[in-house]
Amino acid sequence: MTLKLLKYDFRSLFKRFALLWPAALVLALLLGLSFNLEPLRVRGMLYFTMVLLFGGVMAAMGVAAAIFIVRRFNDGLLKDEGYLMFTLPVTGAQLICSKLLSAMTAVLISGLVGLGSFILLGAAFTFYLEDFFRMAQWLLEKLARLDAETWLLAAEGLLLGLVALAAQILLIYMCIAIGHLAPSHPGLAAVGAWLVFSAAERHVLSGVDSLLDRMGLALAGLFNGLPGEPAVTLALTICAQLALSTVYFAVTNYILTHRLNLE
Amino acid sequence: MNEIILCHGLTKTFGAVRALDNVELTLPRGRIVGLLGPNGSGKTTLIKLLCGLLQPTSGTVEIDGCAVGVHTKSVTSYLPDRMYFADWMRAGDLVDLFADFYRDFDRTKCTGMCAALGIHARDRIKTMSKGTKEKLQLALVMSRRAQLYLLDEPIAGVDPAARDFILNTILTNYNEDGTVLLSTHLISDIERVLDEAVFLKAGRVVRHESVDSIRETEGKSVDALFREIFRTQPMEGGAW
Repeated sequence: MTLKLLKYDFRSLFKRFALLWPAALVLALLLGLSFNLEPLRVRGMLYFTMVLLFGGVMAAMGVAAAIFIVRRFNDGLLKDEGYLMFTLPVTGAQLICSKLLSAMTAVLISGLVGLGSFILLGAAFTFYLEDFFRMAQWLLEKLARLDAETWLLAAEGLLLGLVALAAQILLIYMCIAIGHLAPSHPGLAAVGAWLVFSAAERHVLSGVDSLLDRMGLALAGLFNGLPGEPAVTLALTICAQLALSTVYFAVTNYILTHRLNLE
Repeated sequence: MNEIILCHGLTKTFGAVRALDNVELTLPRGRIVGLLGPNGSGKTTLIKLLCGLLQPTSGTVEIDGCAVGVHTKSVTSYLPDRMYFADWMRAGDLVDLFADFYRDFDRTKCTGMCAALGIHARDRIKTMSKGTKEKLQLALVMSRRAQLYLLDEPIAGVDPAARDFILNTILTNYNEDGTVLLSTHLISDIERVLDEAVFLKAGRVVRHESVDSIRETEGKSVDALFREIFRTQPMEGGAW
């Protein structure tokens, strides 16, 4: 059933971003090409317009991803659409998983499109595809020479990024669900809850970092070249983020399952 | 088990307001039941509790022998008093969604009903009129072979011709082995189709009887009895 829910959440996702993602890539390409135009005066005007457009689309992509996270949960479950979603034969946990995975996909693809736009911009600007491919080849060769430990660290870093992203999205979901319990002004209550729980989360994570520091495993040491076990440090940080995600998920699921109140 | 709905001591409060008060209700299978009461009597609250959209303050609800959950939702077809479509969808997306989630959904029947109403799979929800959306929602809900149909005010706020269409759609499409619970305060329009009537007043079930029995014992129609039960006496001087 979760896969079926995902099918509709992904449809919603791709309909919402169907224009933004291609627009960012096309504008990046056009902006890169505008650098090579002559005469200089025409290039200046076009360049200015393209930079504005490109910046606008990139900002819109970030804002759209943030809005998507909030609205797919709030409007999709706790407003009129909730009358449909909560009468489907699925559990609250399945609904949360579906919203979470589609929100993570929105953020990740937006991030990749942003990165791809800058790469495309650079490639179009240099206009020498040979240079671009040579650079890509150099990068691939470097990657091929990395040792197993570095690969492990890279994989852990990637996993940490994903888990931390999930934790942040689940924190937002939990705060929206807490706001739903408020007798009035649920939006305001959700923002208040987010401020409180974000501060609490920072406190917890800094406590975990202090603990790791005392054990000689602080995350900061990883970047400062201090001695330690970076793979262990990353693994413990992933565990801390996973624990937070589990708490946020459990609280949200409890509220949606036992305290739902679609008035 | 012959009962489809079993409510015991069901109470729901919103702050200081008691929307449902210790409701005891048992409904058998294969009946069309009117949930009757004036505005604010607790009809929608009771239906939402049966759907799982609200949680009871106290008491229990069972549908098909189970507490409200995945199983009860799979056998219940719910028509809410509002539109629940996402605006990005097309009519075809909704038909797909119902076919994906409900095993008892009859896609052919739904497509036929939609075609008769002039609704096509490619039609966008965003561009549909309120009336068309309501008809689409009704077609989806009545295309299921459900054990229980919960229809919340399906004929409220529509013209008499649309009321006839809605009632005919319900009567010609519901699963006759299942039960239809239909809430309304427009008794005269639905009286002819009801087997049983449940009267709700200020969150309490004040009467639950078969329509035939009401006619026999009271010697009056359900509509007349409704007016008698819920009559508000005007005060002297014209104030209510």
